[in-house]
Amino acid sequence: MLELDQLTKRYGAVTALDGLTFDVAPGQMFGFLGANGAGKTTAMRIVMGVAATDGGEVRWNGHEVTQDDRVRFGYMPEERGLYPKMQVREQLVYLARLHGLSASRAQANTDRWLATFELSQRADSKVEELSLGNQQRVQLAAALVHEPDLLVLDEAFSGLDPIAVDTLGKMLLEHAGAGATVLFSSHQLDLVEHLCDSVAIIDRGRLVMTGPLDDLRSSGRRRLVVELGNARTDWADRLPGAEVLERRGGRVVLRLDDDVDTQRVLRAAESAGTVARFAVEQPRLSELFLEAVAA
Amino acid sequence: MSAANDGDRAATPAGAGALPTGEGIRMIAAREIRERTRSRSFRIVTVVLIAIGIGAVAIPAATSNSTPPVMDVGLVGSYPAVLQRTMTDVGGTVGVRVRLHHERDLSAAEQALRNGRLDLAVVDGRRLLVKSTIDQPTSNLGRLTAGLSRAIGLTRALSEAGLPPDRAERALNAPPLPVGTVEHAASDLPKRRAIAFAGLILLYVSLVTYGGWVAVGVLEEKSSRIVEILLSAVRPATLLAGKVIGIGVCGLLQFSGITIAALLTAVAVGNGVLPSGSPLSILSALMWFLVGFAFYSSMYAAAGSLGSKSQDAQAVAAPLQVLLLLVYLLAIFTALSTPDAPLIQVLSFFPPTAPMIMGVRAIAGNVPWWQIAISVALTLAATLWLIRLAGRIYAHAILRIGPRLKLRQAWREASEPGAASG
Repeated sequence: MLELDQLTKRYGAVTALDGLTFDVAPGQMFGFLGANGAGKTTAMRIVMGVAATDGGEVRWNGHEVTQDDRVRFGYMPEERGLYPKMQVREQLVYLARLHGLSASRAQANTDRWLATFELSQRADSKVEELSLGNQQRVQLAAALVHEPDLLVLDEAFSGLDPIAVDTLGKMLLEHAGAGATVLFSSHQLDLVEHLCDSVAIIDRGRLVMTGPLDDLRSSGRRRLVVELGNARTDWADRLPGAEVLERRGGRVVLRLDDDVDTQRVLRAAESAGTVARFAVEQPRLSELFLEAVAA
Repeated sequence: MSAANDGDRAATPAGAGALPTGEGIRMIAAREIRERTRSRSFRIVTVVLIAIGIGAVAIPAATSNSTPPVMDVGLVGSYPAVLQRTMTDVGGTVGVRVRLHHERDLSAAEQALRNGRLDLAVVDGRRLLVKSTIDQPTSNLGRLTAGLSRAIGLTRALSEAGLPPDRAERALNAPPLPVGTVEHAASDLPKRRAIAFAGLILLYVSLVTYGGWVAVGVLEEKSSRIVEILLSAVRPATLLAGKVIGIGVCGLLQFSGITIAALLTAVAVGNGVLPSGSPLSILSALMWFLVGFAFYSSMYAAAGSLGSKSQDAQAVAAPLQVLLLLVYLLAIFTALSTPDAPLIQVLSFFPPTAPMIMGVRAIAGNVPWWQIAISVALTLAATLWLIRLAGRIYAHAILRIGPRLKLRQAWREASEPGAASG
């Protein structure tokens, strides 16, 4: 269990974190969301011990996190970071050993990750000789090579092509399935929705919302999708407790307040034309996010 | 925590802790040495330096007149082999090579002296003959003439006293008495100064070069951000120590390479090139390199950590380069010529100047060993203090994202409570 407890951090006059608190349960895929400048990177750097807090603490399995815990963490910083002139395999073995793995285990893990990322052919190349996409894969391998209990990935998916995103997503799920905890930040909300069990959304250094994704979605306001045979949408404009999110052709997406009776909405739609589709949905993560951050 | 030699840890993924500090330092230093010695530029520079080391000794030796001049001595009459050998030996003691020629008679010898085929003739073992009066008794001819005159006369006197020729020869070739000096031999001083000068250049270039490597290496890690990954695994002090030791070993390899090459060349071309005690001078230079590097490298590391982009390396290292240059110039223009002047004596105990100034004094001046020991001890003590100071700046600044830091700003931030890197 990773706990961020009342973290505060100021850079001069700027408050980066303002009492940020949330927990990440073991074995979870945890999405860490926030607009640019919300404090995600600062929080992750504090978890990894590469930035100091002005207040609050980070706990791992109930105690304040120490260097001994951190060698069991894997980290992919936002700005990346590898020795450009060092060979890929040597670099991964070196990093694995710095994290306390034996030489043989470091070798074996390196070879396994290189194979997973289809980089075995480039094992003896210098990092700077690889394409940016491949450098990104090496970076991920560097975070994974020492079998971490906690993975902290800052914008892990940015810069990857859709195939690599898919591969990485599956791998992270596998990693979490094997008991590791994965904390990652991303702006790709659909991806986070697809992969994550839980999320935390922060804004200006403060927690806005956290919890299991299913709970957040079911507690959010319902979405209602209505399609009429004709192209009319004006029927929806005067409904109390319903806000129009989208309209295209005869299709309207509404956000309903909790006390709205859907049957009343159906009758209003039928009065305007033939109802081709009428579906109640849970809110999307992107809607929850925008609502949370705008609040 | 197990002494993870080949990592007993990791049999189970969880539960093991961070690397022991020593092991971390060793691995970081080993990477530094491996990557640097493997680079083409390192190998090229090493070969060039060794070539310079060999050339610096071999070229002066080859061009200087190290073979003794030859003098032709004509013999009129017959001389036993023992006496002929004695005459050749006399040449050796006065620094010339004697070639003996048997002349038919006195007139042939006189003719040969006149036309310059002979420098000197011995007539019937009773008198010597030269072309004209010897004006300078210290010239080669003057010294040879005096030496032969005495040796031949003595041989005859000994033989007349009843000593057999072989014993007479032994008496004449009695080993010379050793000569001690109350001061360093004046003739040795220029050589010792030359060695001190060469050592000083080497020391200065090494400190600037390898110090620069430390600054650039630190900045490389900071600007590429790999330092964030490294420091989530090891402490800043471990990373700093590993880096400095690794580069120090590379420097020592090159530094020893050039000195050993120079020394071997000196041995190969024969004696006379190096003054006595040279191996000690070289050991002293190596020691001062290590002490000086220890002192300056932590400052270079702190300087490197203040930068932001790799292009900042020049700017952040500049104050240290200037400081070293000033000390170097001071050493060249004052310590080398007046190694025992009061100011120089004081500066040879002052840690920033001690490696170069005491390095010069120890070779070119008269310094008792205990003064050298005190100077080394003071410098090492200052180094320990400096490492703590520089390490604190480094630990803070290395993780500071943003523009280039001013030293004062970094120090103030590093001194704030709670600024300790987590």
